[in-house]
Amino acid sequence: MNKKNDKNNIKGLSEDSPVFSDIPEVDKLYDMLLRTLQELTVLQEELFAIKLALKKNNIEIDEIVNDISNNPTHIETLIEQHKEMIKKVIGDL
Amino acid sequence: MPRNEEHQLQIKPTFKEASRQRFVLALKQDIGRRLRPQLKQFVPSDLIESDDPELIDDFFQKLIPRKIWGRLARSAQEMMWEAVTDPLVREEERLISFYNGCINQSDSGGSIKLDEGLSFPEGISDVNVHLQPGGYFLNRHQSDVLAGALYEAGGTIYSQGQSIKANESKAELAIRFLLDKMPDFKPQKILDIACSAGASSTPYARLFPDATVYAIDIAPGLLRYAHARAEALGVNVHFYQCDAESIEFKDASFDLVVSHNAMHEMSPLTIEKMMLESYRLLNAEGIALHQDVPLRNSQLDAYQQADYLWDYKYNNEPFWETYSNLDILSLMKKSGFSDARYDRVKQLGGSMDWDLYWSLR
Repeated sequence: MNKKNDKNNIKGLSEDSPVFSDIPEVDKLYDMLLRTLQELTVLQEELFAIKLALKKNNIEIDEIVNDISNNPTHIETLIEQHKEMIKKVIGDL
Repeated sequence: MPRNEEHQLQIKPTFKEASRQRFVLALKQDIGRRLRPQLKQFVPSDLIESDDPELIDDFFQKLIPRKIWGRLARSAQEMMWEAVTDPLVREEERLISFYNGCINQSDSGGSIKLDEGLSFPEGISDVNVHLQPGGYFLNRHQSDVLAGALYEAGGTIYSQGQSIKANESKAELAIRFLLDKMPDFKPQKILDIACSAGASSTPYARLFPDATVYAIDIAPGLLRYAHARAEALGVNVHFYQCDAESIEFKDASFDLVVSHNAMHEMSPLTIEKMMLESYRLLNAEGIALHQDVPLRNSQLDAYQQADYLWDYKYNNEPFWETYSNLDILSLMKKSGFSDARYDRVKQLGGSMDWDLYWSLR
């Protein structure tokens, strides 16, 4: 028996998907496109929540955007987040 | 009573996990409702009129929009399982602990009895049906409940993707149907065959509070979760690991024998044996009712039949096609149910129809 609490041991999560296009790379691209959209959805929902919070507290979003653009630490954090998202979408080769 | 009853075994996803699940739901609805019907326009009319699903399927194999649709549909199903697996694995220890607590002390009076020596049926035990990770027979340790947890969590998104409303469960529909025909019917002993995660077992216990409800399945991971789920709902059900082909109860020991969405995942031979067992287990005034998806090839045109072949091939539905062609009423009659009948019943407040095969003994 496999150990618990390890999703890598669940058969089926990492199995190869069938190829529909005759070219595996094309299938992979479509799959990546969907996963990209999924991650964008997450961001869209987070943005939706933040906008609601700002509105509730009477804060102007333009001021916040300027603060972020002028702060190197924020920029670095954002780039790291982008890398994380890229990794999530592309996965392993 | 809502179809998807809330209980403490359900995992509350994080905001990001919930976002991913909502995306999958939106994707599945778009692929199923908007894109899938569009494919018909690419099939030449002479093929559609040919009345030959194999010819249409051959054409589909080469059709680029169908290939693109197939890729999207398959990825959507894979992403659905990923979206529900992450939160379940995160909280797996809690699920296990709850299950172990139920074994030691049942507040509702329910029970579970597993049979480790039981061999699993070929053709289903080695397939990840609906692409469910690990399949129904995922059983990594003696308290593994993940198969049932995945079944319920994935099934909830899948049903919403298929526009199956939460107003009335399959079991509630069956009970409404039976009481409409026989208002005085009050079964004392009920058996739910192939109960999976137990979602159809608990409504019988709730709506017939004087009855003792037994539920069987062959997959241990589904049964463990079903037991824990029933306990979480405070409902008294006795779960047994048992093969539908050979059920270890005495002759004439039940007033009502049911199954829900089980036949389309069984081989024709298993269905035949389950019908024989249903007949044997019912007492003289007993009733058998077997509910399933409204899938009859005889009621579909060639295009629809060819279209459904995709699910059989790529959504791991090993018995989808054989079930679609099987004459269930004849099987019931052959098993002794001389008065076997068929009704297609609309879900209350929903858009879904379910097929009911039923008979007095």
